[in-house]
Amino acid sequence: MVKRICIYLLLLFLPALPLLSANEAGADTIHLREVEIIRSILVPRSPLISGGLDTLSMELMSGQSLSELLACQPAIHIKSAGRGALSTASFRGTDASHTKVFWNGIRLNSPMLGQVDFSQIPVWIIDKVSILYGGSSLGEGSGALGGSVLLENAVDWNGGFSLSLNQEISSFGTLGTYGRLSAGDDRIRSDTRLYWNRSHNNYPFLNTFNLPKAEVQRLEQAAYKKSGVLQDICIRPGDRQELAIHLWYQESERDLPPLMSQEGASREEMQADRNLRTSLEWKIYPRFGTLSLRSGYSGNRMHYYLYYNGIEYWQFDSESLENSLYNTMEANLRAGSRFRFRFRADLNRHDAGIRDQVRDEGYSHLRNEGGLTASAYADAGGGLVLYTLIRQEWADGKWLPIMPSAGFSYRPVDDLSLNLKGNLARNYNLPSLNDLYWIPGGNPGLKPENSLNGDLSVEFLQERKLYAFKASVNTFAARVDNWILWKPTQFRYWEAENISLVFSRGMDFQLGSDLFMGKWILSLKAAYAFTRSTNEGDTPANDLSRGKQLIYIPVHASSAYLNLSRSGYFLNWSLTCTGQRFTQPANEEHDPLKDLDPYALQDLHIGKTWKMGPANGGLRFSVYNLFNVSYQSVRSRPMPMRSYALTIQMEL
Amino acid sequence: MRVSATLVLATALGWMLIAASCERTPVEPGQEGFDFGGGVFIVNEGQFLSNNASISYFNPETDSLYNQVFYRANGVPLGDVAHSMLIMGQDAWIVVNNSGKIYRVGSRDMAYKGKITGLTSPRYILIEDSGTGSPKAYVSDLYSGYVTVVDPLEGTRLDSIRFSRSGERLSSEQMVLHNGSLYVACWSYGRQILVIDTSTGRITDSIPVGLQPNSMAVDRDDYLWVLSDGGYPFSPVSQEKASLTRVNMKTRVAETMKVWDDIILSPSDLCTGKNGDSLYFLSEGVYRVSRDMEGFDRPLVPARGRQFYSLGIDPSNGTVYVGDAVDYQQDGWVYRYRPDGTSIDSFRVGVNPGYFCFSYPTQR
Repeated sequence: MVKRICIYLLLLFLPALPLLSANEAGADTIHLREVEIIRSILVPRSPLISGGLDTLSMELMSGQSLSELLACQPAIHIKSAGRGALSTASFRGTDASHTKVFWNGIRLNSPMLGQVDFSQIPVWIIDKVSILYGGSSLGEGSGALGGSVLLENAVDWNGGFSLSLNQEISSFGTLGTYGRLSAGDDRIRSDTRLYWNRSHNNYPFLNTFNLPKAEVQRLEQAAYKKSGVLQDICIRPGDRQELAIHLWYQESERDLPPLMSQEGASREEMQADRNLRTSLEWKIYPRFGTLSLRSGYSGNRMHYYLYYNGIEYWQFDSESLENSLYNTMEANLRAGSRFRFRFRADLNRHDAGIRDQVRDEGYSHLRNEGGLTASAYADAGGGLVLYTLIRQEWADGKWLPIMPSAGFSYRPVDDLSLNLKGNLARNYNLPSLNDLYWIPGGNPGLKPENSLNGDLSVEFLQERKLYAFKASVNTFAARVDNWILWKPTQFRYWEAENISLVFSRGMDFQLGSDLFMGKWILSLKAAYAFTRSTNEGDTPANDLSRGKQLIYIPVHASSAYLNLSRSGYFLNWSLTCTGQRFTQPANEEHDPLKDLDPYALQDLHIGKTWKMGPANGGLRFSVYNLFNVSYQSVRSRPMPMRSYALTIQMEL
Repeated sequence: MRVSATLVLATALGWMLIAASCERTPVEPGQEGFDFGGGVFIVNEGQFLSNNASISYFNPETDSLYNQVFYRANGVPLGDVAHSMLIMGQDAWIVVNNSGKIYRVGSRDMAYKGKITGLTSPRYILIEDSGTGSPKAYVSDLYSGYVTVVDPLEGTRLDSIRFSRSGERLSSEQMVLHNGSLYVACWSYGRQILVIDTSTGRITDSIPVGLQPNSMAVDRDDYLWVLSDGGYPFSPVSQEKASLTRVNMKTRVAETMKVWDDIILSPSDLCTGKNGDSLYFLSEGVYRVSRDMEGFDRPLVPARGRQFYSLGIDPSNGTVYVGDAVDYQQDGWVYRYRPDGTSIDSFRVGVNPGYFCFSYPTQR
């Protein structure tokens, strides 16, 4: 069915190409900023396969979490256990632990779990989202076998004083208040953001898991609240220096709802998180390049419990604590107009542990990591840029094998914005601390997962006065050895093992266009991803999983987007389609116990912005899941059906 | 303007097509009619937190296999982690551990009849039907520290029998009913068999056995055999070697008959043979030992890389049923062997086949 969807998308957008190219003139959209990145060899990432999210999407989703924002990227699959619940992201058929997330250079992945809960990152605190695919991520560090998400807070040195306030009221007892205060001059700037968000989250869903009959129920024990503050201070001590301080503190509490089939004793399951992240970066701009020194801290405290109140029984009551220090020294050096070199040294330290008070068991561990990276970029002339990188890491006193990467970027015709890119990389992902030391089941003998990634990409961009158009096609292949999985043992608990060889390959394309017709501005986007990620490890004769798609990875995913605006009015319509996902490794189809149905979600936003003297105002009405689709992202975890939100914006 | 109008129209049309193409046809609840005779039900646990437990039925007379019979009869998945099953007359009870409930269904057609809900972590159900008055069902529980007494037909709670030692909750696992006494193994971190007088609902005895008694079987001379797995590495109560204990149910005196040599071995699934004169268990492979403790030297059926997960002995002819979990995520297999260990056949069932329930008197 999703194949059909994708064909429709192709049919929908391909005829638009000749129409678009018939127009002449220029445009100023977010695509222009992307062009700058593509064209400039001075930006070290230029031969890398990368992407990003546009500011309009970020503005519309400012009250949401990063998981909802990334859901429109077909190459990234968001696996969500419900609204406000654990959401992980996997790139191109890899595992959630193969996606690394960096906030102002600080890695957000939990050293214990190896992954990131994207539902806990509010879009409100982010200015820029960049995505590095596959081996292109190696320059930021190892382990991102699928890719990396880079979150940045960007300073606007030209901005003056501004105060903005967003108030959102939405379905299921949800309230969100978001404030921002920016002040300063071209020497020092301060940006303060506050947010507070809570929801009863008691949305209705169709429960098809209990007898005597399927019925619509309201989700229970799913309330959440989240609040936090972000403080950015940027200073220019001199003309060639910059100091940036970022501090982000967040508290969240969420009830964890039971499975749809649960009809057992009354219980409470709750998770409370406190996170403090800081990043201090000092940049110097000498004539020969850029030098930077960055130091950061990430502290996470999580309290989790499961309590049966009828019998006053605590099944779990655990507290985990993670303290991580990140230090990076980097030099970007220019050698003439054709060469550029980059050297980077990392030194990180993780002190983490968990203890369950009920069972009086847990573990703690101190891990030291270090890494050295050297890379070179060369403009070979004729539009060809070559790139090579080598990285060496050690962790817990052991050296990892060398991680090399090489790539190119080629612009065959000078006056045509056609760009070919390719790269090949070897990457390693360290087992998480839980994989190694969890009691019971942690396996200290685990080897790092290692991958060989290859990417090839073609990008085309055309800008005229009345339109801008961008198209890209990316193909990829990755072989991951020593894939870590948790398997039950004879002791009836689960144990981590290096057991699989996974081969992931596929392609994705993206089309985008902006049209300017008098006062009307129309933006269209379409994207599609095809991902085959299969188990290629040796399996016994009775194991039918060899050559089959990994569980929870859709083969087909697509999205489409329309934004129409005129004189402050706007209408935005988006569509995301997620294909069938198998929930068992042998891939039995059309079986309600073994796969999840495809789904298509449509969101609609209508709004108006206006100017009142020195102030700007805005009003937005949003409908999520417009057609009231009942669906699950994780088996037997219901997702919300149609919901509404009203947002009032004020800015001085 | 013509260009933009075309695009807008095309977009709207495309979205309508996509919305239509993604609409699912609702799956009508299945109500397939079954009429099962004698045979074996295989309880497939499913994967923890995946709500994909299922029931398979195999009739050895006709050599016919039916998978997912609960779903096919009722149109609703069974739930999360089905652990055991009991048949009594026209009714069957299926214990769905991580859904906190027990379904009552027809033993011939699997059609829904009722449910017992509000349980914490139910593991087994055992019904005492004295013939006078209402039957009583005993439900063991991994975490609650209680054996719950319920009316098996109405699903109402009658009593709760507290299991504790020094103020600590004790888990309750397999149960054996013998002459008005209920023998309950305290598996998780426990090392005793508690005996309940079913006429009073009081615990009358505590019989010490090896650490973590996971399964029990009664032989032809009314000895209760108890298999203890010894726990696991880094367990809060430490680990010890697995052991096999024989309990005289008249005197309630326990005697350790065997202690395993290697602490890494964790035997499970103790059963008796057709006439109650031999013992079977899993310890990587399938073992058959005499009551004189002979036969530990080599397995009756070696595992050869398979993940043997459950064991059942057909009480009518002694056929050995072995469940293979494969990778614990995909559909498993059941292998059948004659009592001498020669292979009969195999068939594919649901995820993690964990329990065999014969539709004539059961082994455990």
